[in-house]
Amino acid sequence: MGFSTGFDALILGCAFFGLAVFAVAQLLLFRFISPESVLKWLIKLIAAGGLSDISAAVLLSWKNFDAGLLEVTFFSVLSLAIYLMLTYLYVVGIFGPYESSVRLRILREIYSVSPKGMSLEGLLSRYSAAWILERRMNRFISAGDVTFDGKTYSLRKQKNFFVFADNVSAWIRKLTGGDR
Amino acid sequence: MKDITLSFLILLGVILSHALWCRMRKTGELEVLPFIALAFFGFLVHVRVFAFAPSFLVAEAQAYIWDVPFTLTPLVFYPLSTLIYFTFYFNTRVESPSQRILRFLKTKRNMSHEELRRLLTDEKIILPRLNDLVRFKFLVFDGKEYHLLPMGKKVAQALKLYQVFLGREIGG
Repeated sequence: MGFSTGFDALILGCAFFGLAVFAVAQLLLFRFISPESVLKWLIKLIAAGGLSDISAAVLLSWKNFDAGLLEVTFFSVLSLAIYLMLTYLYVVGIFGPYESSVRLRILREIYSVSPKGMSLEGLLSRYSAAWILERRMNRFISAGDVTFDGKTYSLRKQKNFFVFADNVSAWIRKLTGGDR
Repeated sequence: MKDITLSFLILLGVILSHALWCRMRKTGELEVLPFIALAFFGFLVHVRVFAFAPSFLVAEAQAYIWDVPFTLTPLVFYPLSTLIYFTFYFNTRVESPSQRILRFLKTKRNMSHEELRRLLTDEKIILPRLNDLVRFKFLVFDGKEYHLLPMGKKVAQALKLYQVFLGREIGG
């Protein structure tokens, strides 16, 4: 097989390369993407970053390590896993809260009149549950997760990220013995 | 590959120890500090095993994929997977409006706009979060109006900067 040092560099380097592709594409494209289309485009960009990561991993492991199919697959999958973890944490920890956190939006609204304060009525006239519902339903419909027939909303995809996250959380809740 | 497996086993140990702690405490609250302590202990084990164990630093030709040596990858894999576990654990106590909508749509199949409106009211969505912001000293309520405290102001400024960087409209 002829391996030498640098497996770490290959796996991590390709994962960060994928993340860089995702981040640059997001910075350039998301200026023109409406809030309703965010989910749809996020998935496309994550896929583009993942593809760049795998391509680089396959190419470099073949070229530098003279690796066989099993090793190339192993390095690529590991690199992809690290890339997906990095992207997930960026989306859930930074971009997601900016795009959809209720608490952060409340802070922004009050900051917009600072140093004056804002009453509850003032806040609700700018940002309310009805506004949140409107934006999120449009986002789900645009991403193809939910359909609206003019009267009722229904779940189109039983398997999407939110349902998956809810299932994992339910499992951890069971494990830790807590209630929501 | 054995290094990654070992890293995964340490993560599993941290998660199970944390779950055991939560079950013993039975508070129903987020047990963040014990989790940080356990995760840090797991990281120290990683540093000891992967960064200072000479056998793992020998990266010469290996006969089997199982023996391919890693040092940095487990040290990156572990903190990332620990943080990912934490985001899911956080979700067990805090539910976003999007998750709430989808959870009900999954259960009830079809819902009208009015039904969803009853699910997402200002009392259920805005007020608890506003109270959280006061409780955690981001805001102060003077009986009439909410005012930003220094911590809240810093967060709002950071968000504004990020908005300039992203070039997007305000989120929420």
